[in-house]
Amino acid sequence: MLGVSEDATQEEIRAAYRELVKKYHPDQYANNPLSDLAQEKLKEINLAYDMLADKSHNGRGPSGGAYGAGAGPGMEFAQIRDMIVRGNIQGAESALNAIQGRNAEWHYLYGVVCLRKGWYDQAREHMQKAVRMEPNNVEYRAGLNNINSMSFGYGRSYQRSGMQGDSGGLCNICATLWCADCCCECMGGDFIPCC
Amino acid sequence: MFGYVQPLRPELRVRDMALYRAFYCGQCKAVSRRYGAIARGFLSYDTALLGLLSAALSVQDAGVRNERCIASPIKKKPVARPCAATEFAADANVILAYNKLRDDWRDERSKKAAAGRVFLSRAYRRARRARPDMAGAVETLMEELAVLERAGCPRMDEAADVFARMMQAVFAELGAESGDARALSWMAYNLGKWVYLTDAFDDLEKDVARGCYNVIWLQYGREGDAAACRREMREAVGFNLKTSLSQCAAAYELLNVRRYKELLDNIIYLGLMDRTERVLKGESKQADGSI
Repeated sequence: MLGVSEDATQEEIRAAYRELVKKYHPDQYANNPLSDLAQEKLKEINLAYDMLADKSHNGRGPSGGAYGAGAGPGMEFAQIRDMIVRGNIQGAESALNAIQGRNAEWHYLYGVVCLRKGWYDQAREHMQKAVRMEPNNVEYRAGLNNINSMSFGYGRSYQRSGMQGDSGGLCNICATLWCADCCCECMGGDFIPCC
Repeated sequence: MFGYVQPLRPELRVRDMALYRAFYCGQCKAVSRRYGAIARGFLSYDTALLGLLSAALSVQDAGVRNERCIASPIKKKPVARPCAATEFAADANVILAYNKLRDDWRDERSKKAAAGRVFLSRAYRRARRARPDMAGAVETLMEELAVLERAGCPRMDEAADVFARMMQAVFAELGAESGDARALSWMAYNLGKWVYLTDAFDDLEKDVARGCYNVIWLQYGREGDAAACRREMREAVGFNLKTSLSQCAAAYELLNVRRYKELLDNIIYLGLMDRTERVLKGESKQADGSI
């Protein structure tokens, strides 16, 4: 489960455990319809770690799901939030479509519904609209931030691979050193004497 | 699909490259065995992922053996042994290739597509018999997509949704026996969405010049030229592509992958991302081996 060999040290087990917890943390699956699967996986990982590690540990992630916190004026929005929490996305969508007056909360909730459907473009548009209509609402701003940062973790291993640069890494290092040297020279010093 | 789903080769270990080739060859041999030599000409790299994923999720591993083939008649090369995974990839390949040709013929009246259809029709009838659910769903959704495109749908989420559901239908047979159906379905949806939007952005100039349907051009509002559209829409398209990929990867992590994880990781995290970056920069070319 943890992907460590039988004779792994406590250090290795802890490192593998930490890596996996990071991967399946509720925050990573905040707007993902598979969040319950991720939580199950996390439970299994915790179980495996408890079996391997002899001393108890703490720092497990709290479970996610922060909907339903807002104080909507209408009963309808509260019901729709409830539907979203229970995973009834289709029901929430048709309920939202039936509402006439479209205020900031409507756009926010519609954005959440779009996100769960995988309609990221519309999701962002509606969240932006909600934030524009009520710039001081913390919930809407957090929702928009959340959408914008969804893809951040994904590209990390690609960036680490060094494939994305226009020029080689070595060139960049040389150029940086040369620039630094020029700056030094301007200030009277010189740490690369030959240039 | 359009040949976009491939590993990032410079980052691939030699043995993983051999494994990837072996699955591609295994799929090719399966197509030849099940559908005849002509159908081999319509092979795509995309479905190699399907075969690989299917083998990675199945309990038993058929493994790889050294074989000769037409392309390499003297030197033996590693080829994935015939198994449910290679057959699945072969069937999916024929079904997707045929429907793509039919779509091209309808849209562009391309002579190449018309000829290809004739060559593939026998194979397709057989594939349809083998996988009626998959073929039926692909036909229905291709039709739905054609209707949407004829109506000039200007929302990328809506157009990509149809294609993404088609990918779900293809992946559905893959998850039938494993307990990974839900994760596979969400992975397929997001991968399909990524493929559709990647293709649309990659073909932007070509579609605009020919007057063909392109959802990004329509969402942009059809003002100015394709270059302006590319500049304006790059951020939005990039956001959608990367968000889809991050969800695809999150679903992939929940699968019960039993083997070939390094190669799959390379495709999911490096190959797809590299293609995204290149398409966004406008330097992607239609990939080799595409249908």
